[in-house]
Amino acid sequence: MRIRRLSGLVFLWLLMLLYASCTYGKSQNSETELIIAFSGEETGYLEPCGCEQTRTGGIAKRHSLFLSIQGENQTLFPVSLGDLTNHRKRQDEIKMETLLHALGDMRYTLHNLGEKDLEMGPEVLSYIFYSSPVRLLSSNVVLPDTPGIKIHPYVTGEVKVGDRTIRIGFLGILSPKLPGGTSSRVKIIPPSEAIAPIIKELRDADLLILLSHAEFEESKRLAGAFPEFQLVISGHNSDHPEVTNVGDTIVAASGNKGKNVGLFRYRISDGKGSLDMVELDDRYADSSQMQDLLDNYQQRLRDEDLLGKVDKFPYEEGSTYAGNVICGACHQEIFLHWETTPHAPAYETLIRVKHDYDPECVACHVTGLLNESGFTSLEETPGLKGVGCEGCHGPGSQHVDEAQKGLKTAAYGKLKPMDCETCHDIEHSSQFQYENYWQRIVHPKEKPKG
Amino acid sequence: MKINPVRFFLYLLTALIICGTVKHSPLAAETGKTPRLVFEEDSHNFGDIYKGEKVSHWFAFTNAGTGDLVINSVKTSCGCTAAAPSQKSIPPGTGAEIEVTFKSDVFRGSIRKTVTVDTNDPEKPRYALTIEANVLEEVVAEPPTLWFNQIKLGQSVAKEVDIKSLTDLKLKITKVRSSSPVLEFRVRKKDGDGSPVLEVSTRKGASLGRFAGDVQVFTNSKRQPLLTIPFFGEIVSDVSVFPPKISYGVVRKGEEVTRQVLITIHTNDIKLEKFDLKPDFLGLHHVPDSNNYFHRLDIILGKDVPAGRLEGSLTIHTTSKDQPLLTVPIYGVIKEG
Repeated sequence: MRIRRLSGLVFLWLLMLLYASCTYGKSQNSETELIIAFSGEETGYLEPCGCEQTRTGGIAKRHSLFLSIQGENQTLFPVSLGDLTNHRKRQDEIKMETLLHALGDMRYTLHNLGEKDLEMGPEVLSYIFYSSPVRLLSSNVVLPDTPGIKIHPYVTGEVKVGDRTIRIGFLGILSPKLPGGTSSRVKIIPPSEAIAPIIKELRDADLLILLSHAEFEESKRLAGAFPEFQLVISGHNSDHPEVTNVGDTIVAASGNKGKNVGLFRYRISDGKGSLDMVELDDRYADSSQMQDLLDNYQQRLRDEDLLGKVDKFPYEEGSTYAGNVICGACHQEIFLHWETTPHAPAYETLIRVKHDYDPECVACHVTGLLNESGFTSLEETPGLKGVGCEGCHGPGSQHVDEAQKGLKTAAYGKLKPMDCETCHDIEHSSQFQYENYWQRIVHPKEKPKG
Repeated sequence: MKINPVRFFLYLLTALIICGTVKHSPLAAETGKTPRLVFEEDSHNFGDIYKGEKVSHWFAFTNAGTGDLVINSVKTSCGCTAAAPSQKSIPPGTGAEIEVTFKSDVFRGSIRKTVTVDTNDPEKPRYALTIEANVLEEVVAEPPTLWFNQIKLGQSVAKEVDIKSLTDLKLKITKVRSSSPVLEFRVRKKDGDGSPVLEVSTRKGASLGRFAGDVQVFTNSKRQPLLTIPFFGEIVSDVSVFPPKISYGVVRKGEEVTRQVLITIHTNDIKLEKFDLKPDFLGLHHVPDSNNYFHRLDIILGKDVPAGRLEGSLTIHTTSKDQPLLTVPIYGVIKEG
């Protein structure tokens, strides 16, 4: 009887332990709150590179985070700081469109204009923002002779949280230092000059937030000059999250490439806010809705045949790509060994993940995509798929000619460890160490040619 | 007193299943032996370095605890920084290093980067290391970016870029190239100090459309042998259309999707006459501009479109002599369900 009672007690005790472990870590705060979620400086980073073991960031994980934090007592209000893409080619335009579509689906209400957005040109901005629910915000950038684009100097929002309505005012600035050139079609007003009259206009707002596309120090100065802001969201080259206080104002940067999201929790009861930074790591699954958008993006790259339109650098030394089979005619042992290395099936790995029409990925999975006479497509240049001999050593036609004429060819193909880093860079191959990686592809010694 | 062995077994089994669902505490805590991570320093300043340089620092640490220290992960805040521990499991009383490498290619001025080290140290499982540097430039371009804006077809626009050395290096340009066929280059010496000036001009025969890319300038600087100057612009005639292709991507059957086309009129008296759309099942809605500058077209893929590959085109008829017809290809894939 005693053992029976004891086993019952042990069972109850374990049950309580289970309950405690299940509730541990969940928000203990059941208070009604408004959450301003902020991200920015994606600079074209739609999803983490599949080559990396640790995958952080991307729109699919971000969406999962947002879905997980919307509860009965929480109202989410996402905003974007600026710089959706990094370059200005056709692929970047499609990326920008995809990202803005994703922001709309995630219920972002505004996007602050960054200098890289501006560099896309007024026509592209006008086209992309025309039908988007995301409003383009800038308090200090004006495009005087561009009628097709609407830039909002501020955005206000009324959010019903519980039984209260909170009035929020958003201002956005772009640091005049950042655009890397001048265009007669762009006018940038000094931020302080632009902010002051808008603050007066929005004096009845419960919460004033500045999106400051500027270096962190400049954002801190603006926070000091305008204590009316409760939150200053900063960012430009902020590659890691940073949070500080200037008086009562929180100044925060969520970092670039969308790897982190800032969550400003505004308590309705006392009008105070606190800040969390969330790293979008493996805790967050990929949302299927965003995955559909990413698949769509890949399909569009394929439809527009961007792989076939890659601008190619001229190869001035006069040599062209010969292909692995030609190399293998003389270097048989090395060729046979190469076929066993991870370089050989590099293109097939892209086919498996359906990124084989994405020029940004293909460039490091084939031979010579960015140079004249290099890879163009599987149909036209099958001998250049995968990272072949010339992928590392450079075009070899001249070397072949010289060898056939019996000339010395020692100068061809010498490499330094840093040459590998063109592809094995820190973003795509963070574990790369030349000594270790070389062991994976070390070429067998050839017998002297007689 | 009689024990029901079946019931006791069921209790025990349930308890074991529940135990299995509860997250295990670290082995160290179970054994009573705990590791303790102690870094000799948690920040390092590289001082002045030149753009393009790659610098490394080794952060030494010891395990001052009684259990094995395990480095679970080392994460960097930036793609420009790499970090790796010399070993992942460190016995008590011994030490190891974390090598942090910083590449300065895309920076200038003061930089601060962090490296996060996650371990099984129960007292402080996460440690942040900081590196700082002041990135100097030996070679600069003024202006750093080339905006060509809109250029009329058949015309050429030229821009000049001063290539300057900020040290006492006597700078020489060894090669200039770009992947874009739109630009051509000439290097000359500046009057006075003889520093190089790069003349960049658009070719008169360049074809219509947007162009963008980088000019690569190779110099005799050993610290910064390559200087990159981004450029962008658009060659236009009377009318331009954006985007150059209409792609619906992958659409589920039964879904209605609209794509926009933006038509910009660059010559005042040019008018849009009519639009032809193929295949017929695509819908079109024209939003005209009272100023005849920006016109918009909505191209609507309806709900009742059959599954399969979609290929078609939009043809815009204009009063322009040079551009009477503008054709925009249309693509998409309609998937079942």
